[in-house]
Amino acid sequence: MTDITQKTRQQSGIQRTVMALALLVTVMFVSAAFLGFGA
Amino acid sequence: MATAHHAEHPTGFTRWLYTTNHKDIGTLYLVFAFIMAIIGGIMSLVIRSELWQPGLQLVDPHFFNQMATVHALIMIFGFVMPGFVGLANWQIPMMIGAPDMALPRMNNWSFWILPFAATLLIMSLFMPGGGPAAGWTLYPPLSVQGGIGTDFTLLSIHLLGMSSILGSINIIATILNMRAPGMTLMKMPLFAWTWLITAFLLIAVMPVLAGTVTMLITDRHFGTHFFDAAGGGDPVLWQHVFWFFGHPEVYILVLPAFGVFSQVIPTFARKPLFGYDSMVYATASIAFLSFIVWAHHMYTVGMPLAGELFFMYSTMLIAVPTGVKVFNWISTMWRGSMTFESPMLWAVGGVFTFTIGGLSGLMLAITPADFQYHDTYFVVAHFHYVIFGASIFGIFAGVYYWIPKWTGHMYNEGLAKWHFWLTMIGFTITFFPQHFLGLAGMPRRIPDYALQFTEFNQWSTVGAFMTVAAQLIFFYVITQAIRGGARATNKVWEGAEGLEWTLPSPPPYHSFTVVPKVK
Repeated sequence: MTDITQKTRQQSGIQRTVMALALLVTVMFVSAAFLGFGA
Repeated sequence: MATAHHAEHPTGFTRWLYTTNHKDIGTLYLVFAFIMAIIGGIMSLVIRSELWQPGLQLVDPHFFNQMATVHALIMIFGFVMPGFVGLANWQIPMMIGAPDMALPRMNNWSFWILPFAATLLIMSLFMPGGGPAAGWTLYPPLSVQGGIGTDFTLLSIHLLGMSSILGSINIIATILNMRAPGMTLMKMPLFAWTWLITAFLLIAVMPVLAGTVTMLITDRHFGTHFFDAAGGGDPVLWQHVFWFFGHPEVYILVLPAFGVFSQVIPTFARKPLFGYDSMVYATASIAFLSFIVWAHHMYTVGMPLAGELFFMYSTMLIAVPTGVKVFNWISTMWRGSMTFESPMLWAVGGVFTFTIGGLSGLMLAITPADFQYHDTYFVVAHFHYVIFGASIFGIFAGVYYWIPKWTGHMYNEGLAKWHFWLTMIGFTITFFPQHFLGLAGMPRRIPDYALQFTEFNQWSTVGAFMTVAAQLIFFYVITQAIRGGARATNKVWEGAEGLEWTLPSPPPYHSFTVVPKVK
């Protein structure tokens, strides 16, 4: 069985990954939209 | 037992509706992909039937354009992408030694968006004015002028994109955080590697597609003029932003297939994969290059010469990492103890057809030559050699390779070989003559053609019917394997290596409740 410390570390790792990826999605979407306004 | 309640799960419809289990969700994705493949396949038969002879035969030209558009959208977003996400859901947790995906509830949501999105897309065909008829690339001004069916399609694309983004976040979070102790990134199976890179590609480009689709919606309904020259906009802007998504999309469709080939070929050559590290770097290089080649789809719009040269050279550069991959697959097979069970047939067949598709891609990359090939059947032949010949062959290779593990039963090898050979021959009869049609100047997306193109078109139509019919064998073989058959061992294939083969066949509901150690 996975011990508690490893599980907590895994959980916070997953949270950090999701936050970073969500940020990337937002940046890409907004840049595409701004490209439209700039052109 | 503490884990006993984990094994309890609802039965019947609620099992599938509420499931957070990676295997159940993988199955849902694969079943969905198969249904979409059938619908998209029938649409391709409408197209091929109309093209059986010159002149207008069966369908109205406007409906023909809708078929060409929706066939592509369904095959790309409904078949190939969900097919690979299905394989990823089933395999990635088992390959990296995890009990499930990192975000199981989001996994459920990613899937259940799909049937609604697909319904919207198919319903568009029944709207006043019909479905989208601008081609899957949805170029303005046609896509700005389309009826309400186009709005259904655009909303559907938004939903499909959301599903892909959520699925990709899940795959990255799983791979980066849930690998078994000892499984460093450079020890990870190639299928997990190619999916990790594919997921990053998806996250980078799906929001860009969403951005440009949103601009199209505002052009259609909210008085903006992003793509309307009369209002100071530019339809070419759409082409640039669309292909910034569209070209990486091609690699999104094909990289997971490369991953499957890299699993299957070593197993049936009974040798470790040749050049593992270079395979990883080549995949990453292909992904990087895919972002700087987009305008090779639009040489004919009138770009500065420097732009054309840049996109020509950067596109030709992709041949280097791709060549590394093909070299590695061949070197893996070199002096191996090879056998040709169905997964291997699909993998070797896939490498072969992909190489042809890659070479015609190089021809298209050459700017002056592309002025001749652009918008002809040569392009149709090229991308079907890549998307069908590599991606779909990859899905079949993966399904045959892993289905004994999933079901616990061996499939009927004899019938599976019939499936491969009939598809391979049907595929070649369909798409090889299209190279000649294109070189001779037959335009694509046109329901009528000049008389001299008749014979090759008839070959193509016969091949298309043969290919679609061969899929009935696939359906039968898979259904049979699900219902019963010879028991599969844990390892299934003599030469198979990896954590998934240490689990029983079929694997338990939660893959690894005790974390495996990787040396």
